[in-house]
Amino acid sequence: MNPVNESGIFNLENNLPKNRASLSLERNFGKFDASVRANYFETTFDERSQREEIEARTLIDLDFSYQASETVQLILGALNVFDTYPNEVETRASQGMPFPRRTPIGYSGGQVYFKAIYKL
Amino acid sequence: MVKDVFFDFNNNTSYLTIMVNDDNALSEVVITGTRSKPRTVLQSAVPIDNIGVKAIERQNNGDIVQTLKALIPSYTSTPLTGDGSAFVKPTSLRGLPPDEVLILMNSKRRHRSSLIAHFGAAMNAGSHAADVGHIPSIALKNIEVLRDGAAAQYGSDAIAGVMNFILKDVSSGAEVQTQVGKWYGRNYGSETDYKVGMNFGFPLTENGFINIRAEYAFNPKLARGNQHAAAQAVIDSGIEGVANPAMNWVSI
Repeated sequence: MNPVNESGIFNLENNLPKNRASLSLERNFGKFDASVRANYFETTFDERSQREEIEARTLIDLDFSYQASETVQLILGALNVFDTYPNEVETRASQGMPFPRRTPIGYSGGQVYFKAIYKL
Repeated sequence: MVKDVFFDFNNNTSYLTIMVNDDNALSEVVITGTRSKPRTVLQSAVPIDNIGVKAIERQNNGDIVQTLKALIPSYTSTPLTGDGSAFVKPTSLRGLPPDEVLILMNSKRRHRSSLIAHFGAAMNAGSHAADVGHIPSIALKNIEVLRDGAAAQYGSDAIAGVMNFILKDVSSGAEVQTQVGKWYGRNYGSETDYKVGMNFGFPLTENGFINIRAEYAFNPKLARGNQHAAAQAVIDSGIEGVANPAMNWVSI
């Protein structure tokens, strides 16, 4: 058995993006903090023989923070605010899996969250 | 030589680490707990990111991997739907295997997980990495990331880089964090995750302290698949009681 065959090399080189970028902006308005962040993933390929292309995606995150008092901080944020998914692929469609399994983009979808922090 | 200095400014205690050369010349100052300094340590010969507690706190860190993924550009984490790698996530710095990133806790090596991965993005196969996902986010004061190979200095587990998780070391006071998150993906159920964390510091005589922390997190099953074709065929043939979806494709 050859542990490093041609498809193994292809997967090693193409399962993860060659370029990945993260750009974030932060602004303070007195008791408020706001930030927006863009995470970019370059095109990759799913494993298995079909080698389907996973297109590039940019995920946008937002968060707002409010210092309610000296001890209490409230945070409202959203991850992947536009509910972005990778493109659907055929490899496992018949098994019920529409998304590529070898993508760091993730296929969880968007999330909003609320946090309260109390510091004494 | 490293000197630690505490200073009090408008009751907001901040923390300074000052590195001094042998001839007493200032070589590097790392300030934790402020955003007035750029994240990247510019004067260093190697690329270092210093992620402070403010940036960590503002994330939904149901799992610290999620936070790292959002904040560190060269860091990736591939969701997995099966095998132990669904729990010890295959993470990567600069596209290299998980066990080629040196994970330090308070500048000391973190032990590896018990999982030898044989599944996941190709670079994960055969790798035996530390489980970063088990580090509670409430424990963290800051994270230093060396985004470059440092194998000559640290050994062969630092080929992709080094991540140093610095823990909180408060000698007094209390902190409580609560968090609730709602997933709203199209076509899917709206799952909820939540987390509660506490951090307490007590002085222990004049020369020491005890810092106790605990965290409880619940992350739901995020089923993102459709019905399996074979299960659909069973339903179509008139058999009742088949779950939908019969086979779960879960993203965590």
